[in-house]
Amino acid sequence: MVIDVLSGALLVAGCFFFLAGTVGLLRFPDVYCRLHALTKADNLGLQLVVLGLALQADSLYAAAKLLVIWLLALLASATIAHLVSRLALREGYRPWTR
Amino acid sequence: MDAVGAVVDLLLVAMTLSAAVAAVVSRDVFRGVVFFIVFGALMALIWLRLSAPNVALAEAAVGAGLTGVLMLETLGRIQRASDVEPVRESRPRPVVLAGAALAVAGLSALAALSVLLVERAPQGLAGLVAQQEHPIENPVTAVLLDFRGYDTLLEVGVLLLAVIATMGLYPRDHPSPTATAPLTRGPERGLLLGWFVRLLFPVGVLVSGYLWWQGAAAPGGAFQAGTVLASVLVLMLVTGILGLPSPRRAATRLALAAGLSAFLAAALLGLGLLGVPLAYPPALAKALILAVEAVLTLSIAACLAALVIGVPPTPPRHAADDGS
Repeated sequence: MVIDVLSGALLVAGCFFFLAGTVGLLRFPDVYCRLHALTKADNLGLQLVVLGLALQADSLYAAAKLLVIWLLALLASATIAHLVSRLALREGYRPWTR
Repeated sequence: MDAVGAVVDLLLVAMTLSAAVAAVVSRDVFRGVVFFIVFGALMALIWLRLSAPNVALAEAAVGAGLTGVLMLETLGRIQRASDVEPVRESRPRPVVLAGAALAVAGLSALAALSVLLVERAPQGLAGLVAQQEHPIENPVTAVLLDFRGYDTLLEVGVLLLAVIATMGLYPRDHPSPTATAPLTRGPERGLLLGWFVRLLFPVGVLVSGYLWWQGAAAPGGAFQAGTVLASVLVLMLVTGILGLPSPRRAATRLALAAGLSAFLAAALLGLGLLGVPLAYPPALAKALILAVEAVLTLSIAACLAALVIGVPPTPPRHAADDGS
């Protein structure tokens, strides 16, 4: 029962970060800010969702697999964010200033 | 069907339809390609909701992954190249448009009606497969590789035929280097992408091997493992870490054709031992199926990577003799 409540709370928190990331993607003024928002969603949001699911997993092995998935997604999103921002800088997009 | 499931299904259907419409209607081709990738990912989720994890794995890897890479690389190349003629927008006549729309709507209505009116078998084939007590517990793998082995054999043959056809394509007049060069980018200037892809290679091999082995008892199998390996191969080919294999080398041809050959060998083995092609002796069934699947994995990876990258075609002989 406690595990269910904890798992649900973690999932809701993860979804909040995903929502924040999506709002950031839609509303932020330039590509660098949007990448910032997206990597938060990938990083924290996915971690919280994976933690919530790992609590419900059948075995330690299944929970470990979920964590490995999160690590791979983390690596991929960090690399992609770096590549996109480097390309944007090279193409001449100046960071937004007020 | 519970309420939460119904809401999730409705949301999925709405999102998939919007992604599909957006992919087709966008004026900007890049937007269309991105929405197509999103459509592929959502289709994988739909397959999951339909309790088909094997298909969902394959759809996520091929529909969202490999097809996305192919289209994005091609689009980037078309936009960067100066020797490619821009596609002139053609507007078909309203009559043709109306006829096509009517045909599509009619076919969709037929499909929807058939789904709604046909009685759903509660278990599909899984119940029948379970009755046979096959050593392979995953009913999808048992059906694909054993009970309906002919279909899979011919599918692998079709894949190989597609690769051969792609290798044979060569523009007849004025071949532009952009059109005939394979989709590689070459090494990046920075360090990060090379490091990341080199890290992904052993991880990809591990995941692919895991999917191949798990395919006997859980969702997985040769196709899923092959698509994961193909994605890693495509990454390594695009970044230039792996050199392009030439179709003239025997190793390339062996890699492409090994899967079909192994499957045919298993079929002939059945013919020799039991008098029926593709019949496996019960004691050897699991080992034989896993062995054929292993070779199939490597071959499917090679074929898919060749289809996405485009193995460099060789110009026809008379063009070389022209002296041009």
